[in-house]
Amino acid sequence: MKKLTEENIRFIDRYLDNSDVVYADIRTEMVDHVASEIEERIKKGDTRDFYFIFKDFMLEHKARLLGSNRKFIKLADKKIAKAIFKDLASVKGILSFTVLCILFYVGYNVLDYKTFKSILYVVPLVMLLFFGLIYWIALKRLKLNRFSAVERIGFTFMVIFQVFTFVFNITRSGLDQSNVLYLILIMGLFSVLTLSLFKVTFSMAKFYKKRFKNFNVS
Amino acid sequence: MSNSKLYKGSLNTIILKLLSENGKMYGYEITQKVKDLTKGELNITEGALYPALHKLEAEGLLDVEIAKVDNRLRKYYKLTESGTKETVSKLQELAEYIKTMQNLVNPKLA
Repeated sequence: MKKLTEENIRFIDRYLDNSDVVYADIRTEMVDHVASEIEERIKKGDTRDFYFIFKDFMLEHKARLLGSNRKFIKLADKKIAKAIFKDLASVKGILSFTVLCILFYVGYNVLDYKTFKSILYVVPLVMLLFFGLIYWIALKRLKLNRFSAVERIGFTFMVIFQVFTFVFNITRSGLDQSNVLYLILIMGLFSVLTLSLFKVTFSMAKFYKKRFKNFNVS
Repeated sequence: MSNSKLYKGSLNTIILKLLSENGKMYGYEITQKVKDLTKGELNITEGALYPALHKLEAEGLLDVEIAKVDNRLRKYYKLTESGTKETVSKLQELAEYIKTMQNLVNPKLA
């Protein structure tokens, strides 16, 4: 039975990549599905060139394939949310939150209120820059593979960052020294969430590295 | 999938059952197997199959193995221990459902 060549497979891979199926873990499976179907059509007697069979298949199935890509991304988001919640609800997560709040409280007692407040406002921005830098190094400099659940964490972080910025902006004017505990709790929560995101990022990256360790995916 | 609404609820059970019988399978193989077994009556689309497989995997019912086959990577699915248990319970559930429906629509055959 005629099998598709490496060049054919690369063509399918590039086509899907250009059609927004950018995550290697998802694309790998789609490439195999498309290639298997084309080989089946050849086996059943389609003698046309690969590109014509491919074109026909994509005309019939592209919408469904890309639709399932969106479902995969939703599933990846759910997976991340579940992992973060599990981490936050663990003994380590609760301990980290408590320690961070204590540290912020100590900082409040050591520094004057104005400096302390300024530092607190800068923390999320520094974390955002740090997170962005890690992703930039991983994707642009080291050219590491793009895996769905790892990359979507960046999106989750942006959502959390926006929510905190929004909360701060609407409560900012009413915040004074009398409700510093509220400020400390909010910052403790943000910091523990960010820590959890880092942990989940590394564990997901490890998971994919293990799964694809013997294979070259792009 | 033909008669999509009727079959949709049974998709996970179909996947689990096939994996319990065949050990490990990949996505396209599952679609073809279902087509063969139902003589073309049931056609599982990729849009329904892969999200279902990923969900079952996320729930810990399926395990994944990657292999290089014919110039490309192939993702094989197999049942985990809890997946095997879930298959038994899902099949039982489905059998009871079929029996109940039989009683409702055709009591003489029940």
